[in-house]
Parts: sequence; structure tokens; C-alpha cells
Amino acid sequence: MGFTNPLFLLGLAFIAVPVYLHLVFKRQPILKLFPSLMLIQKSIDYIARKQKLKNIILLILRILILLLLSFIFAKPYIGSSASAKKSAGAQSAFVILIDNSMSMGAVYQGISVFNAAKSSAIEILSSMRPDDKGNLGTAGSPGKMLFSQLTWDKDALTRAINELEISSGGTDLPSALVSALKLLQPLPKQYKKTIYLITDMTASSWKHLLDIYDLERIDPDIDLALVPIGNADIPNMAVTDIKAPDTMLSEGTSAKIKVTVKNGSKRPEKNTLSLYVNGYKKADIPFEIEADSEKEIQTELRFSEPGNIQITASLPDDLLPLDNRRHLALKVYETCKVLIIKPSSAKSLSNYTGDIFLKFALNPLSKSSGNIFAVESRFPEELGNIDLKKYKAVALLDTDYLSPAFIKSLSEFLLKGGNIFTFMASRCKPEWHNEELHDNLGGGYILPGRVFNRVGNSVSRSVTYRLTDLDFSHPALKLFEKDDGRALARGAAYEFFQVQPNPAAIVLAKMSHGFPGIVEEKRGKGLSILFSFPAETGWTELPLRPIWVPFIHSIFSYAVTSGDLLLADPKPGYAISLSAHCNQGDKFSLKTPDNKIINLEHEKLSDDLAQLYITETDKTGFYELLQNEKRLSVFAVNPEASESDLERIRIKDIPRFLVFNTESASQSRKDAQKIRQGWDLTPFCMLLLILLVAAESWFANLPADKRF
Amino acid sequence: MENSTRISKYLAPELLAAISNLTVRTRNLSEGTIEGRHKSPYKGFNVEFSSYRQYAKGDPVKDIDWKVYARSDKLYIKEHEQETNLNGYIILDSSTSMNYKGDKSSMSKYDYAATLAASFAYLILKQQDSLGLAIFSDQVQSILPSRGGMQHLKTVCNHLEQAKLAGKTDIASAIDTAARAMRKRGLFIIISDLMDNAEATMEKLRQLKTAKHEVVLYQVLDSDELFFPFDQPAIFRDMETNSEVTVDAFLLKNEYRKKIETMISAFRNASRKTGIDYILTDTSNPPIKAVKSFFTGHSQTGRSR
Repeated sequence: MGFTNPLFLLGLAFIAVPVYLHLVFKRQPILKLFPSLMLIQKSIDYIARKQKLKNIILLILRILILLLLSFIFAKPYIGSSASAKKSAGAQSAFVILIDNSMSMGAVYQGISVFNAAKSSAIEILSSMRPDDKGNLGTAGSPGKMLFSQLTWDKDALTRAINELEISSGGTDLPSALVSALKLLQPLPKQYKKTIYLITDMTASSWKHLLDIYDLERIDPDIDLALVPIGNADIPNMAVTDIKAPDTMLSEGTSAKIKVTVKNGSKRPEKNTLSLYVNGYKKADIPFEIEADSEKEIQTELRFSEPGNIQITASLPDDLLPLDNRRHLALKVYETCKVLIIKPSSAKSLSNYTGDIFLKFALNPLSKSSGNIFAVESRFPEELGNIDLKKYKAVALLDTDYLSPAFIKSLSEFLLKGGNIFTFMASRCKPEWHNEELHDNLGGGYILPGRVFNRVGNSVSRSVTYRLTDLDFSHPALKLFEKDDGRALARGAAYEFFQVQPNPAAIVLAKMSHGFPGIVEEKRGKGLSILFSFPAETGWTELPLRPIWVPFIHSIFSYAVTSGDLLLADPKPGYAISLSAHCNQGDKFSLKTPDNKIINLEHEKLSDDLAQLYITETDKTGFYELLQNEKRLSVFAVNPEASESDLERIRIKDIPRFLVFNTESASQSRKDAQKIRQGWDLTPFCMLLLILLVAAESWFANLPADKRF
Repeated sequence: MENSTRISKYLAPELLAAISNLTVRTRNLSEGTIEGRHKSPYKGFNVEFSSYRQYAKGDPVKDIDWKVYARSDKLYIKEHEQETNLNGYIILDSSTSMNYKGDKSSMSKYDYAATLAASFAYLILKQQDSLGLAIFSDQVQSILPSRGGMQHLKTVCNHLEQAKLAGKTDIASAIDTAARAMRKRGLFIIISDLMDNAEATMEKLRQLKTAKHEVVLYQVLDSDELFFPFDQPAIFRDMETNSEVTVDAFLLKNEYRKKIETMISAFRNASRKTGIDYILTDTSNPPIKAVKSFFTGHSQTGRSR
């Protein structure tokens, strides 16, 4: 219990008055002769007991009256919050965290959940006193404080609340809470510190917080107040995912599009999914979905021309319209030409078949069009003055000789954006490779590492090696994460070259025993990938395995698309940092989904490379990155899928927080007041005082013959 | 009447005038030698025939009515009732508590009781009956044997006036002593505030009744004792024992009244069962009313005799 005016408690000293009167002051009796005390004696025991009890009761009543009088002047209050235990005159410091995640965009029974949250925030703010200071933060992802410091400016805080907009992102309660704690914790102890969290209580967001945070360990000096908005699970249907499973799309080919829809309602639903390509409706797909479940809807789209494609999957609007559309930005490539260079020493062999496994993997049906890759295979002697610009990639198979002129043009090809794949085999001579393709080229080297001795014996096949330690985070190998690379590991290798990667190179996979198996290095605008084993069956069984085709396809697709700025799944509100090739004087800009053009500042990393920062990603939809007003890339920002799950967490599962009653927004102000000051006991004390005075008056004048 | 001609200060002329035409009669028979108003408890040879009864062994032969025997051939005894004089005994309480005089009363309880005693002495002696007197507190102070004649009235009054008020009330021993002194059956008029053990008192009175005495019990109380009109805290000092009690009289009043009601009821009920006449008197009322209560059968406080 605390007191607003504790000095008035000095009035408790007046309790001594009735005690003094009771103990000291007694009326002097007069002497009275009486014939016989026989009857008086008989009455006196009962009377004495009654009188003593009455006196004690009166004393207690009078002490209580004085006690209550002192209390009333001292304005008592009680409260379980840390703030209520502090002096009533202490300053308050608070942070209001408003959840502006996508789920707050729901409208239930005609009331916007987000607007209700803002109303509650304004009500809490209305109890702010002139010497209090506060801040406003968002609990949507990414959480941020709207003011760098706590402010006394109530009007500015009110304006900030009114201007707050809902985001399409998820909820990030941990970072919002940490930011608020960082502001309040350094304040002196005498401050009443409170964090008000206004949220719609979605279970997914709270689960994340409760998993990583022990709320009980938060500074007990800081009150955590929870303002739950909304009071029911809202039936919601959402598009939670859209993807094209193929790693690379090519003109004239069909592409699978997979859309996932989720029914958050408690009953089965029928609905129609609409697909839009570049803004034009391409398909309406009716579907039925069970209660509280997800469903994947698959369709095929054919793209006849290369370029950037914008695909939107859309459902009719419901109570939460923000998650009813999802976007996918794709790039359709023209057919990629790949040049395979066979070993020079094999030219004399009429039946050389060392390239067929690679050719098969890249173009199984040997189609001249309608395929992603078109393959051309030559011996070094057949290259002449070949123009490498028309090729996207060059594959060096078991190479034992290249003319110096071609090596030079190959180096230029690589630095200007071409991709070189080197497969090592029995004809390869490490000395030649290291000298001609690495050391002699200076800064224009081609190989991502130096080659050393052979390991193993492909004749005796006494030792078997396999591809291990695959870097599944790498786009080229992500495909094999599903089976943890076991399918690739089945392709046994019996001999390979030992490779020492360059300092800038990365190892994508290792051979068992730990030697590098696949090494990649970005060279200029291009990519050089070295395989320490061949692309034919002399040293390895991998080309005979079914995994060979997707393996080669995935790595080649990755390589030829790596020069493109394709941003996968940027989260709404999060900044994007990327590097792009640029020339002197180039200008970058961003076209947002609402067709606003934003100029982007860039930072030069090298003569032809710049670092770009994109911060305006709040809105969902397609963003176009423009270089000199020419489209460089397109990416899509989608709402956070987890926000579509509107299932609420139970209040009792949340520790530490003092929970507001949110039947009305004005209740928030009262609850905030209660947290800060506790329960004001003055009215109760006054009522009690009146009752006690009445009781004392009645009791003191109680007729002597009345029993009590 | 002038003071010098007064028999006693307890027999004021107004009182004598008011009671002079009264006659004391007993309900049952009196035992005595003078034929008069009172039936004798003895059946015997006298003028007024009472009844016949069959002869029983041991009856005197001289009482047999031989005429009846001659007629009926059966032995009958002829009984007669005798009228005789009344033996009155007044037993008066002179304990210290009887010295109490409340504000509303014109005389102390003893003076009131003595006035009653003198009045009954006058009436009894005036009708040529005999009267004895015992004055007691915790012991019998003085005792006058039963005698007749108006000269005896003076002696009685002198005794009443000269009595010293001292000691506690002990009715039981006083009755014992008086009963031994008064051998003949008679009328016992006991006048006291009865501030004694009620059960012991009633037991003695029951014994008197068993001995065929007529008993009249006067309880003389001051108005203060009956109604306890005090409202202030007071130290009450017992007049008999000098012990003191400090108490808020206002708080005590109701409880005290209940207690005295209980005590009076106990005496009244016990008296009714025993056949004793119980008369409660309040000293704030004139003594003549108390005397007349004997004849009207109503106590001064409105309680029936």
C-alpha cells in the first residue's frame, strides 16, 4: 500500500487521545450507602463484563475512526504493479508498443482491430502527466521506436499514434520488447516504468516470444501491461505461398506454379483462386478446402517471350484482406547456349564420348528450341576465332590443351559475365592447368583453385569417394537438401584431383576424406566452378545416376542466372542491400507497387560495382529496380504468411504481464491509471469512516439493558 | 393530639384514627383462655356444639354422649368448639439495613416497620388479645412475652423506640428464638426487609406454619431498593457489612431490577405455597396503607396478599 500524501499519516498520533481517555480518564463515582449489596453483587459480574467489552469496542471504533481520518487525508492506494508501489508523485516513463503487423488489419463486426488498438493507445496516453515521458513503438516486424528517446511531448506522441499505419509484415514482439526495455532500464529507480503492449494476441507471434524469452526475468521494476485487442478468432482465408518449383524458366517452356491457400475458418469453404500474369487474369481456379487446413493448388503457365514476369494469386477479400493476394516475380530466359570443349588429345579418337553425359544433362532430348540449354561441343582445334559472347557458359571437359589466344578470350569471357565449368579427368595435367589457366593470367585467372595430385585409383577402384558436406544454403545445391545429399552421395568416385581453393573461392561440396569436390569463385561478372572429378564415367559413377541431370541442371542454372538481380522473398518493411554492376554516372531508382519512383542512393564498391540500399519495402506487391530508368530487376514483397493464422493465445499462458480489460477503449485509461497509481482507497475509507462513526454513535448510546 | 399525650412516636393520632375501627382476625383458630372472636383449635367441652364422632380407644370416657348411646347403642363423642383469645407475636427486624431512608421516603425502613408493629400491637391489645414482641438483627435484641391489656402497649412501644439498629439480618435465628419464647399457637407478624438468605428464611416460616401458627410476612423495602433510581457511577457501601462496590448505576439499573423482581417473586411464590400471607411494602407510601393491606389482602405495590 502507498499514500499520495504520506505526511498526513502523522495524524495517526491522535490515536493516543482515545487511548488516553480510555485508560486514564474515568468519572469519579460518588459514595452511596445502600441497605444491602446482596442484589448489587449478583448483578455486578455480568454488568462489569458487559461494560468492559463495550469500552473496548468503543475504544477500537474510535481508534479506527482516527486511523481512517489519517488515511483519507493521506490518500491511500494499493496495487500489485511495481509502479503502484512507488511514491504517487514519482515521474512515469512508459513505452506504448502497438502491434501493427498484418493480422491487426482484420475487421471484425465492422470494427478495425488496428483502429481499436490506436484508440486504446490514445486512451493510455491521455493519462500522461506533464512530467511523464514516453515513447511509441511498433511491434510489427521489423519493430521500431518512433522517437529516438523518451519524450515529454504528448501531442507529438498522439500525432504519431494517429499517423501509424499497418504493415504487411509479421509480429516481432521480442525486438519491440527489447527496444522498449533498453529505453526504460537505464532510468533511475524512482521512475514508474511501464511498457504497454497493444496486440491482437495471435498465438504464432506470442509463441516466438515465449520460446526465446523468459519474461519472468525481465526487470521487476518495469511493469508489463498487456492490452489485448479483439476477443474472438476471426475466420480467415489466405494465400500463404506462391512459387515456381523450376529453378530456371526458359522461353517457350511450361512452368509449374504452386499456390498454397489456407483456411483458418472452423468449417470447410469453397472459393476461387485467380491468377494474374503481368496484371492480366490468366485463370480462375475454383477449389474446396477443409476447415483449418492448407491446400496446394498447382497450375501450369507457358511463357513465350523472355523477360520479367509478374504473377499474382488472389482470393476474394474477407475480414483480413491483406493476405488474400500473393505475388511472384519470375524471369524467363532465352535459351542458354553452352559450349563444351573436349580434350585435344581425344580428337584423334573417332568414338570419344566423354561429353555425352553433360550434353544429356543439359539438353536430354537434344532439342534446338523450347529447351533451357542449347549445347555445342567442340575440340580446341575447332574453336578458331569463335565469338564467346553468344554463349552463356563454357564447359572444359578433361582439358589438356587450349591455345593461348583462346585462354585469353576465355578469361575476358569470364570477367564479363560468362560462366566456366571445369571438369577434371585423366587427361588433365595439373602443371598445365595451374600455369596456363591460373598463374600466367595474373588477375584474369580462370580456375577457382590450384590443382595438385590425383587421389584414388580408378583402375583398381579399391577406395570409393563420395560427395559430402554439401552447402545446402547455396542456391545451386538447395535442391538436394530434401534427402540430405544422399542421392548425390550414391554416385561413387574412385579417382579425383586434389584442389587447393583460392582465397576468394568457396567449397560447395567435399569428397569424402575432406578434399574439395566442387569449388566456386566469382570472377568479375562471371562465375568459375571447378569439379575435381570428370563429367563422364571413367573415374565416377555419378553421371550414371538419376541425380546427374538435376545436379548439372541446378548448377548450370544457378551459374547462368547468378548475374541477375533476383531477390527472393524480401520481408515487408525490411531493408534490402544488394550489389549491382554500374558505370560512372548511372542512376538507380525503385518503382513501388503504388507506382511511386524513389531514387536510390548507391555506394561505389569498385569501378563497375555499386552497393544499393532499398528501405521502402512496406507495401506488398511488385517492386521494379531501375537503372537509368531501365528495368534492371523485379522483385515481389509478400505479406508474412504466419500472420494469416489468427488463432489467439490464451491470456493465462502469458506470464508476467498485467492484463487490461479492453471492453472499451476508455477502460484502457482506467487500467493504465490503476497500474500507475493502484486502487485509490480513499472512497472506500470514507465509506468505512461513515459506517464506523454511525456504529460508534449507535454503540455509545446503546441502552444499558440492550445486549450486544 | 399533643406529643405529650402520645403513647409512642409510632402511633400518630391520624394513624390511630384510621385503624381504630379495625379488628384483627385470624383465619384459623387461636389458642387461649379468654373466649372471644377467635376459634380455638381445641375441640372440647364448651357451649358451642361442633360435631359427633365415633368413640375411639383412648378418648376420655367423660366425653361420651350417653344420650346418643341410649338411643343408638353406639358410643359417640360430642365435640364442642371453643372461642378463645388471640396470641399475637410481632417479630421486627432491626438490622442496620433497616436504617435506610431514601429520598422519596418520609421515614426509615425501621421507623416504617416499627409503625406497622405499633399499629398491630394497638389493634391486638385493643381487642383484649395478647401480644408478644421480638426485635432482632443477627440475634434477638429484646423479647417481650405475650401479654394482654393496653398497659402492655406502652411497653411494646418503648421497646420499639429503644431498639438499636445494628448487625446483619438473620431472620431464621430470630424466629427460632421467638418461637421458643411463645409456646402458644398464635399469629406471627414478621416485619423485615428480608435481606437474608431467602431459602433459609422460608424454611423457618414453613416450620412456624407446621406448628399451626398463623404467619404474616411483611417485607419492608425503600423505594430506592425497589426501583434503583440511580444513574451515576457510584460507590455503593453496604450498611450492614460496610463492604463497597464501585459501579455505574446506570448500567446496573436494569439488571438490579430484574434481580429484585426475582427475589420478590421467590418470596411470594414460596409464601403462597406455604399458606403464609406475604405483604410487600414501600416506605414511600403511608404506613396506614400497609396496615390496611393486612385486612384488604393487597400489598402496597399492587401485589395480592
